Amino acid sequence: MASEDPPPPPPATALMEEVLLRFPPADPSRLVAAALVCRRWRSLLSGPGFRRRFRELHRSPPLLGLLCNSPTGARFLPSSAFRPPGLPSTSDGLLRGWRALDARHGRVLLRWDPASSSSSGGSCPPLVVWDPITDQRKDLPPLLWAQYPYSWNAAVLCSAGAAGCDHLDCCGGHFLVVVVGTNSKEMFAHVYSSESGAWSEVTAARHPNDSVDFAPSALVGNALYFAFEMGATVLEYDLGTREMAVIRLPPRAFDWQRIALATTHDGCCLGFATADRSAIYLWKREASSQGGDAQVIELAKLLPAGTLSAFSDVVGFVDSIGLIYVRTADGLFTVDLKSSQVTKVSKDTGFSGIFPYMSFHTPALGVPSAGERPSVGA
Amino acid sequence: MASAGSGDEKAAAAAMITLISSDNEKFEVTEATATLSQTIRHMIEDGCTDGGVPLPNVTSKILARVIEYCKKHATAAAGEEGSSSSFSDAAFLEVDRAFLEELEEFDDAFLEVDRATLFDLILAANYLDIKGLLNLTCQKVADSVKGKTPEQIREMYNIVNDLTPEEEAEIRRETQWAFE
Repeated sequence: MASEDPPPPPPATALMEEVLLRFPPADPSRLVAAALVCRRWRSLLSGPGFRRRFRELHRSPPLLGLLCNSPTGARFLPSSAFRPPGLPSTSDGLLRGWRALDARHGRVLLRWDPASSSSSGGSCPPLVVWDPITDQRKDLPPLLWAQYPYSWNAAVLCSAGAAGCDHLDCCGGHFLVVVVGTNSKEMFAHVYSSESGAWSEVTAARHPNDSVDFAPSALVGNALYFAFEMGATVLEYDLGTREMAVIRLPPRAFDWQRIALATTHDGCCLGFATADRSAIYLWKREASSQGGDAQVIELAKLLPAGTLSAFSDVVGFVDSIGLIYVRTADGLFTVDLKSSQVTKVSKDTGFSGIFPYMSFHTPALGVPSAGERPSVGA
Repeated sequence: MASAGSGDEKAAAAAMITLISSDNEKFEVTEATATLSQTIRHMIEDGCTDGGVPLPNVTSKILARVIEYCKKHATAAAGEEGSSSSFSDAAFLEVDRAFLEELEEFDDAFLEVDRATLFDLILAANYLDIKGLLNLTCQKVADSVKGKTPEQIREMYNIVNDLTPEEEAEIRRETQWAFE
């Protein structure tokens, strides 16, 4: 009867931009598919305006994957379709010989640590800052130890720290690497600035009689926090004054248990998570107090039956996306703090640290390839 | 202005705005409904709404739908203000939750339109600067292409592929992970 309506013209670019902005950041492959629709969409999606607006609209960078340290190297465990282009598909996500030390502001800090290497006691192992999205890699100059450290850890962050950058799109900019550690005499800190291209003079403070844990650090305001192994104290490094302090945590019934640090989701407090055999304990340190009552999450109710067998250990805490990583004898699990949903991430338990990698990914086309690779697949 | 009636009535009468669609149809709405649009809010603030607000980019069919949305959500906004009083007991929160559910159902039903209407709504929401409506309609379109291949998206929106094979290959090369 009625003849078919002529097909409507394609939507105008301005309208389509509003739609494409609302694609989920956690599934970057959808923007890639859209970039293949036509030239208009392709140039829209890869343009600087879209890049900026997409980040400003979504604000919180999505979790694209985890870097897990295994005996052979750091493995990229994807949480989305994204895979680092520098990792050949044959590598199974393994950066052989590298260990992850930190991931923040879209950058990953790696240390060269091949199983075969004879340790060179005089200097810190080679450090590299890697952007998994562009595959750009920056090798840091060697860092000489003043004295051989008993323990050490390191963090990477945008050089603007807490001031003057929203960290939505600062990956290509300048960064700092902070190395802290302990030796027989004292605890110490070194800072590398990509702007000056050099390591700072060492700063030192009194020894806490504990060792720095190889676990994710937390950035709160203008201070970095590193956990000590015994779980009773935290090292505070002030980026402004370059001073170090030891913060004593409120005594708990389950001392000697590793703690995971996090920046609280509002960005203004240091959060802690730990676990005993059956529960996760979360609390935060506020300016006014050392920390209130802990929030208790009973694991027995959440984890599948039988997974609480031998041990449970909080290995990661990312309050900005509301996730706790718990390792049990059965594998690695995430607990979603909002929904209490538990997801098994990996059945592997033989890793020694996990570092969530969060970043925005919008198609950036025609960008010259970095050329250099973290020689990961070789 | 007539001096009859209580102060409340006068305030209510003063708070009516006339919107005029592109096909010259007039719609009387309350100021609370109209000011969900930032564009109209600014016009009211600048005192240029006497004699009605002409909206040459919006047809009466679309304007009627937009007003339907704004009426519902203006009530919701008013309700939220009310609930920020000292009442925070469970019964009150329960009412809030029921209301939010109702609003969600309204939004779902509101989006049951054909694709052309949906894009007209986006256009109107963009022009009138109604954040909630823009978000709702754009998200609906964004969700509708989930899992679609570039070819399927082109078919849906009548788009001709003008990428050269080289350009296509470049995108595929640089984001190879997306195709594995």
